[in-house]
Amino acid sequence: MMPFLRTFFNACECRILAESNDSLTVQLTEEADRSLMNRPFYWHYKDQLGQPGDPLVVTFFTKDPGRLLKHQEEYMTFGSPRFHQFLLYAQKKSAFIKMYETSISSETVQLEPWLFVHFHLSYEANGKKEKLVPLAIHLISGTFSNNFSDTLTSLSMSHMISPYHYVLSPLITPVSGLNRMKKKLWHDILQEEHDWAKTALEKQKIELTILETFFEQNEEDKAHFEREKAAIMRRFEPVIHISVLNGGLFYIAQNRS
Amino acid sequence: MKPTIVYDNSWENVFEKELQNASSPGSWSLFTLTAETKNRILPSDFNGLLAPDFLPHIQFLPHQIKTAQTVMEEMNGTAILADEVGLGKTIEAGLILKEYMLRGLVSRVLILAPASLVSQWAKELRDKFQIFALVQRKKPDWSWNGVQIASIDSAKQAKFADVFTDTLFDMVIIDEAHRLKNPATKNHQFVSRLNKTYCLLLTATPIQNNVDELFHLVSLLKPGLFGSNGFFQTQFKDGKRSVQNRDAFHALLRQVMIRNIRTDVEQQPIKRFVQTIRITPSKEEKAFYESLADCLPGAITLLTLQREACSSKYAALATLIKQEGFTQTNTAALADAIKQNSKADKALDIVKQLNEKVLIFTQYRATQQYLELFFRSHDIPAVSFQGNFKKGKKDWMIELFKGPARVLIATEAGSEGLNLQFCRHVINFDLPWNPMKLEQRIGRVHRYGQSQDVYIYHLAYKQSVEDRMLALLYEKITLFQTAIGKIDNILDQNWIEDHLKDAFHTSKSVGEWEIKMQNLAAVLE
Repeated sequence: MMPFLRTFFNACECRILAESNDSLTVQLTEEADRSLMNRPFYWHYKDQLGQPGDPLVVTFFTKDPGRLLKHQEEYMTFGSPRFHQFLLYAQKKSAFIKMYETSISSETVQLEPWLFVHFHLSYEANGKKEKLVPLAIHLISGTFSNNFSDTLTSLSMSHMISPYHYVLSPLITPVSGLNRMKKKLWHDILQEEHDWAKTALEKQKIELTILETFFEQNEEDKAHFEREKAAIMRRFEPVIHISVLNGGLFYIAQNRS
Repeated sequence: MKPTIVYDNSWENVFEKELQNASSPGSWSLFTLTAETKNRILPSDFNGLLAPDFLPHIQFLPHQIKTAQTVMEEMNGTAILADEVGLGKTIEAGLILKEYMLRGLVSRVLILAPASLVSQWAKELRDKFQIFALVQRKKPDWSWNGVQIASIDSAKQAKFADVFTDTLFDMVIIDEAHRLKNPATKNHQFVSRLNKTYCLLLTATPIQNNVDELFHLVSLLKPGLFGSNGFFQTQFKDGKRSVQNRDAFHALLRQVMIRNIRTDVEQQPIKRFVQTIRITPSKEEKAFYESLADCLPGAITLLTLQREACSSKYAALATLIKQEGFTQTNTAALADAIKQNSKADKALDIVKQLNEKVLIFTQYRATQQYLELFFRSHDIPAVSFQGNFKKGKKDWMIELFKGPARVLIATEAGSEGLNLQFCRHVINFDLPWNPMKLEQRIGRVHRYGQSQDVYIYHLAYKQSVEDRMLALLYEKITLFQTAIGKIDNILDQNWIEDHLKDAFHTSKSVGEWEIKMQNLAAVLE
């Protein structure tokens, strides 16, 4: 939890005032306060008056301090709504990024475009499992890469394009690059064994059979039957949801991956 | 088998816009942080629990973890949690709820609890599970998308019926669910009509009177488990309280119900020391007790009256005074002559010696009032607690007991939902005829969260009906406890309780009662 908070606040440009093994005190920026602290009335009030607001200083404990918490103190675990709020905020702030490889060079460097996406797969039936699938596509050759993030970690990257660097235009547009990745993902998923879905459907069938033994046919029962049936369908219907957690365009020199 | 695949386009739409207007792209470090963190917290397997690791400040007990896991993996989120009192049913329900929330399967939740327990639920969910629930009070807003807690009485009102027809709850949790046992009641019908995906019913007493109750409770969760009502009647029911085809019946029941028993789950149990203190009555008390046979009111058995007198003269007088001309009788004069209550003196000794919080139980309101005054007159701050107090008053009494008061005097009715883990001494000022009631009393302090050994003191007058009850009932209490409680015996429980009730209420003398109890004990053995 501690590394998460540290990286999170650094990335959000909030100054960390004090830090120990299990607590961290941070001066929020105005933007962070507005987006995270759930106090719209305060900010509305300040805006109306045309005054600058006073962003909060908050202390987060990652271990239960074993005492009552004061104002602007919070206990944070991976189970806290606050943590999930931060994570969602981080996700929104980085949903789309654009990065360029930089190197110190006196000669011109040619950068090639890649689209890199974290797909989020959620397998749901009478339970749920999820996984992230990182996938990248070379927007010139159409080659896929499964370990693009490994490539990235060895490079130095920047938001801005460096001097003497230039980018090649993609032959595949980013949108159709995304579509190609989706198609590949779809194909890969269909190749998987889906025992979980089979089991769920079998269970669903059994539950429906059980349900049918309960009712004798009359009008009033019908609504009840439909209601219970719908619940069983919801509980067991296997489905895979695919969404994108985040993604971006990366320009890196040739033969990097 | 190819499951349906659903693709969520929302990122794609943003992506296209971002490409066009080249607005400032997001942060690289947040990009990596999001992916790494998400990877760490997502449920990588259908089975197993995420919640315990995410809530490191709670020490869950093994049986609570196991229960949550069974409900999720085998019962698919629909279950009756029927643990014995004090083993943490609320914790189990909270753990299951949290797990489903963390997995993103549940967000809109309705928790129905007795009005007196609503705030307690909110507090437990907040403090233990970091679930912030909306408490629905006078003007409920049922459109709330998150977790909400309400009393069943406020929710079932006719004016909300349409709202509930149109609302889908991901999970419904019902506390004290034995209140739903009768399908003819509004409560039962209300719950049956709720649109819900997952459902948990919590009760320590899944059956109180007859087997049908279990059928109706199960039908709320999994209609058809026992077949239709007609099928159940012919195939499973055997008389009012018993079942035939037991093995089949229990196998089915186990698919929806989990019942943990104290003796099974406690590995390093909190020890319970029970001490029976036999008190010699004063001359006056003895004379009063013996005179009771002479002025027996019509509808009351001598046994009842004697037991009242064993509590305090006030308890007996509350009954006696209703007779016309009672004040002229010899018994009245004898009552008047009693200046001291030997039991109260003994209780005072115990309280003084302990220098700790003490919980006292009595069945009689008159005794309760007397004791409160008695302790106060000895400068020991005491407060009373009754089941029919308003919510605020109950909370306040418990706060007082936590704080300045040394003694809490509770009547039987005060048992439900009364959690007093901070206290470990219980005085039974008088004794209930049903050993299970006694267990409920002790369960107030000997429960989940208690960290020290528990001390129980039974007070009984020598050579009184209480003394004889003690000898018979409480020496055999383990016998009753093992017979009652186990899931396989959940049906016998009623049968036993019926006998206990019958033995007590119809016996004209303590001798008759003793014979009946001995017969019962013989059968159980």
